[in-house]
Order: sequence, then C-alpha cells, then structure tokens
Amino acid sequence: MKKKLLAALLTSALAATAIVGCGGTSNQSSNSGSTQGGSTSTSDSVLGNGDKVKLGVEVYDTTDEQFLAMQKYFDYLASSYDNLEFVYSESLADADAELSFIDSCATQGCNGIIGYYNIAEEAAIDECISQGMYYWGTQSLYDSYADDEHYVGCYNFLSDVADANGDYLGGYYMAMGLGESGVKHVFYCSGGYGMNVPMFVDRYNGFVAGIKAAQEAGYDIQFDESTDVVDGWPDADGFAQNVATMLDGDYDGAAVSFNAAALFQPIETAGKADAIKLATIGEVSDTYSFAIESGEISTVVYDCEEIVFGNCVTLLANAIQGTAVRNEDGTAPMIYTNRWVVTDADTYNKILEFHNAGNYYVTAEDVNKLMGADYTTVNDFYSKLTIESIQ
Amino acid sequence: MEKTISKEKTPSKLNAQKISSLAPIIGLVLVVVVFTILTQGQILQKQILMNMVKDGIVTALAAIGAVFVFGAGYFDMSMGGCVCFATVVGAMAGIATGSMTVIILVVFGISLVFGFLKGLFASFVNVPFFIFTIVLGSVMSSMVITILGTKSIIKLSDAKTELPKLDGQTTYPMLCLICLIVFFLVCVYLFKLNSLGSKVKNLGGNKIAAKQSGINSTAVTIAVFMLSSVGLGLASILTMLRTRTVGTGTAGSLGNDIMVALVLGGMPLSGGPKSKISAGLIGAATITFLNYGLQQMQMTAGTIQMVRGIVFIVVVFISSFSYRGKLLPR
Repeated sequence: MKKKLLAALLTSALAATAIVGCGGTSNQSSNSGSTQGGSTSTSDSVLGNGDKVKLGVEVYDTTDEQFLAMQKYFDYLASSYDNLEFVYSESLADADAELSFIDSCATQGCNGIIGYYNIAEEAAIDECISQGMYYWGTQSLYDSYADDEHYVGCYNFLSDVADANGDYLGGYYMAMGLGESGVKHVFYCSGGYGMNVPMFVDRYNGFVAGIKAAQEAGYDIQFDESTDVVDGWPDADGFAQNVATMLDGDYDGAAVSFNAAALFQPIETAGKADAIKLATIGEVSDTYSFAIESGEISTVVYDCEEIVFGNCVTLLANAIQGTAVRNEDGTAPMIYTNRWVVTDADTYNKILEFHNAGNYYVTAEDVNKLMGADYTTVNDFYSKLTIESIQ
Repeated sequence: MEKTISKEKTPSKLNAQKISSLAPIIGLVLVVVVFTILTQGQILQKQILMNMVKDGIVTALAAIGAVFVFGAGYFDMSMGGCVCFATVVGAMAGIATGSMTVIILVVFGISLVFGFLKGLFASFVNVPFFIFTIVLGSVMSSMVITILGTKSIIKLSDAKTELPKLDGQTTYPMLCLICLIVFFLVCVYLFKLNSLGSKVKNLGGNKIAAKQSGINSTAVTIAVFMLSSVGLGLASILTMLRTRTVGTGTAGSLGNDIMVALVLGGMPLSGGPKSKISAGLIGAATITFLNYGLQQMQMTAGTIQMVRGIVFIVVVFISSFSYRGKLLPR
C-alpha cells in the first residue's frame, strides 16, 4: 500500500511538473505530433487574393542555424499576412517520418509543402501530390516532376561553374575565398565525405575544383588530397586528434564543410588564432561575428534565407491561389539566386545588423507584389539580389 | 486443529485488478471519444483514418510479434536494426532482379534467420540477452552502412524492371489493414487458443519452474523469436512499399516505438502470466490516435510531447497494479 501511495505521489509530481513546464508553450497555435510549431498572423493584411496559404516545412535538424534563420523569416511573413501560415516538422529521422509528416500536413489543411529537406525523394513528392498539395524543392528531381502542375519548382544558383549544384559551389567558393585571402597551405574538414553522404561528397569535389581554379587564377594555395583531409565529425573518434595534428603542421588555412565553430577551441588551444584562416558554409549570425572581425574566419559561403529559400513562398502561394508561375512551355520554374561569399567583417556585420533589426532583403510587401507575376518578373527579382547589390 | 490462513482476495482487490488490467483499453476508448468530441468528428474522416493506418502499421505489426518475445521474458533491443537490415538487403535484391517475390523471400528469409539465431543465443548463451541485442542492433546498422557502400540511400525506382507502386490513398492502406488483421488473428490464436501461449507465459513467469513443468524452453524460445521475425518481416515489406527509399536511417526509432506501444498497451516488459497479445495493437492504436488528435487540435510539438508523456505515465501507473506480484497468479 505504501509503495502504491509513493508511486501515485511520484506520478502526480511528474505530471504536474510537465503541465507547469508546458504552460509557456501553449500560446502558439500550430500543429504537432510530428510538427514543431507554426506562426500566426497579427495583421489584417492578406497575401494575394486572400485565399488561405498553409505550408508544411520539412526539416532535418530543428536546431540548425540555417533552418532557424529561415523559420524566423517565415514567422515574419506569417505575421504580416492574415492568410499565411506555416507548419514545421520535428527533426525528420527517416523516410517514414517524412511521409507521416506530409500526411499530417494534409489532415491539417495544408495546401503546400516546402521540401527544405527530402529523404524519401519521389515517394515524398508523390505522397504530397496524391494528397492534393503543391510541392516546392528537391532540385535533383526537377526533371522528373517539372511537367506536373503540383510541382511548383525549386531554386538554383547562378554561377560560372558548369554542372555545379549548391553544395559543389559551396566547396568551390570556400577554396576560392581562401586563395583570395592569401592562404598558402590548407586542410579540409570533410564531414560526411568518408561516409559517402552526397552533400559532403559534392562539397569536397567542389573544393578540389576550387583549389585548381584558385591556382589557375594565380593564387599560391596548396592542398594535397592524400594528406590534407580530416574526415568525420567533431564527436567522431579521432577527429580531435587529427585536427590537433593538422594544427601542429604548417597550415595557415582550413576549410570546414560543416559548422566552423567546431574548430574555434582547437585553434585557440594550439595558440594559432592569429595564424589560421577558416572558410565555412554557414549562416551570417552571431556565431561567426567575432571570428570574422578578428580575421579568424576569412570566408563564409552564405545562402541568404529570404532569397534562396524564400522564393518557395512566392511560388507556392501563386500556385495555391491560381496564378501559378510557370515557364513558357508550362513546366515548373527554377528560380536562379546567388550564393553570397562574405569575405570581410564590414559586409558580414552589415547583413547581421540588418537581419537582427528585423529587416529582410525580400520583404512581405515584395512577396505580395510578386503574386500574379510571370516567371521573368519573379526570377529577375530574386536573381538581382547579389551581395554587391546590398552594399 | 491447525488454523488455515486464508489469503483469498477481497472483492475490492479483484475489482481494482480488473480495472487496472482494462486500463489500456479504457485509455484507447477515452482517447477516441475525447478527440472525436473535441474535433467534432473530423478525426474520424476516412482520409485521416487511412493516414493513421499508414503511420501506425509498422509499429503495430512489430509490437504484436514482440509480445511473444517480451512475454517469454526476453528484452529485444535489436528489432529496429533487424528491420533496417532486412529492408535494405531486400531492396537491393529487388532492385537487382526487378522482382517483388524476391524481395518478399529475402526479407522474410533474413528476418527468420535472425530470429532463429537470437533464439539459439537466448537458449544457450549465458549472457544477459538485452546486452546481446543492443550489440546486435549496432552490428546490423554498421553492416547496412557497409553494404550500401557509396550510397546513403537506395531507391526501388532504380530496379531492373519496375516494381509495383501502390496507391498511397487506397491500395496501400487496405493492404496494411489486411496484413494487420491476418497477423493479429494468427497471433491471437497462438497466444490464447494454442498451448504456445501458455508456455510463453510460463517461461516469462519463471524459467526454472517452466522447465521443471516439462516445457521445452529451447523450442519455445526459438518459436517466439521466429514469430516476432514474421512481424518484423511484414513491417519491413510495408515500410519499403510505402517509402520506396531505404537507407541507414530506416526504422531508426522502431525499437523505442515498439516498447512505448507495448507498455501503453498494458504489457509488462518483464513478461510472464500477465502478458497480453492485445498490448501491441492497443498501444500502437492509442499512440497513433493521440498524435492525430493533438495535431487536429493545432497543438504545438511541446504540448503534444507533454500530453503524450502524461497519458503514458497515467496508463502505465494504473496498469502497473496488475503487473506481477511476488507470487505467480493462481
């Protein structure tokens, strides 16, 4: 009897703690289960013709800086328009979870899915379409779905590099950025390259090509594929030791295919904060602010979220409201955007301060002006937003 | 004359035990009724019910088969790894041959082989079984990475000849329902109407007493793991048919989902006489309905997690009254 009483008391205490802890989260209205949270409007304005636009967002890692920046932008848009709402997934672990999220979006009245992450590939897009929703994203499957009216398109990058996808360009620009900043000998942290993760394979290949391009452009930068690569992740066995070994060498630069903040401490410990220049693919955020000011980071390859990913709202909202943006031949469009390569603290801080003040290079009004626009107008708008144009 | 001390249960104790044993069913009914009212019947729409079937089927099938394993007193942490391995190898065989029959044979073959091996290990090796299954799960995940080589995922669309593609709104959910009903009925027969069920409960209750009662513990142990493997094989096939993409992340959370379903369904994880074949189905149904109900009510993820946790705690607490006492039931 005493044991049961104790068990009952502990259960009640646990439940009460959970209820109290949950109290602050009940203000958001959104969908859950496999969804994380949404954004609602406090405005009387409407987007386009006022038809409801409710978009599900597939997420790989809900703690990722890029996702958080994109979510902040979407929240800003949703707060500007009464008829715009977003539903976010939790971190999607596998294809089954992704399909479950798409199904749950359908039951919650979503009319579009933002394929910011896609692991089930065709199955995800097919499920979305079979549920009557529009889909944006997954450039790799563009050719398979371009003719489908429910596939609204995706983004692509403007560049001089042939056959380069976003990840390839990221590696390429890191190498070029390090060459331009005067780095002579660089090592590369390859992340999931050794595990054949496609994203990291593309980044590595782009980096190698970028090194060659930098050398051809006259920069004296050296990289040996057999000795200058650190594979794996910061929490993997041997990573810390391998990085320490590299830092003991004659390197004056490092390219990091994931979050470069992982190298801040090892560089500090090795006493090389003034000697090593870092390049990374990442966000313009407080994370790198001090590092780029001190010169520790020389290159940040940045996808401005409102430009690279924000065009999804334009394309999806237009399709949902009956003014789909299509190419002349009726196929889904690719919106060409620019990858911003930030190499100086002034530009970095300018972008950071602009965003921190709640401003965006694509405002809610801009998105509304693009409702009912044709492909040329939409594409020109996004593709003209370069890092030079914001100076 | 010696006094005989009677330890007959009082009516109140019997009622409490009956209520606690019915707690999972009561929980499921309450969840259905509450959310039907709160969503004004929206949750019972055909599309939502079909989506629930698609989302809950893998956990339900695996959990129903797992009742035999847990009922016999074994704690298997390798189920997710087994499904991942069988799915990947089956998919590779299917892509190479373009044959659905090959996929089915390979998936079930691998599942049954692993079931047999686990049964042998549990019977003859004197090592805590759950440690073995933890290691086995890790080994299988590593083998999947090795087998996949340069790829992180493989797609059925790359098959030599096109493999069947089921309509996600009608054909696939119906197939799921058929598999679930048939497998569940077979398991109900084996657990309740066949001597295997009582042998499983006896083995889970007390292995020594079971052996001394004449139960062939080796045969029963191997049988329970083979039965569980059938459930895992079905789960693998249906996962593959739905996602058509398999890789290292396939069935990553299945192990945890199975245990949550079993506990929510009123199954004592230590097994024994209080094991219930309905636990897997009821638990999976409860968690699936709860998820969809909370989604329909536009709740945040944090709130959903909290509500799920509270429901879990309450159901388990009430169910725990009926778990094993110091004596086996008479």
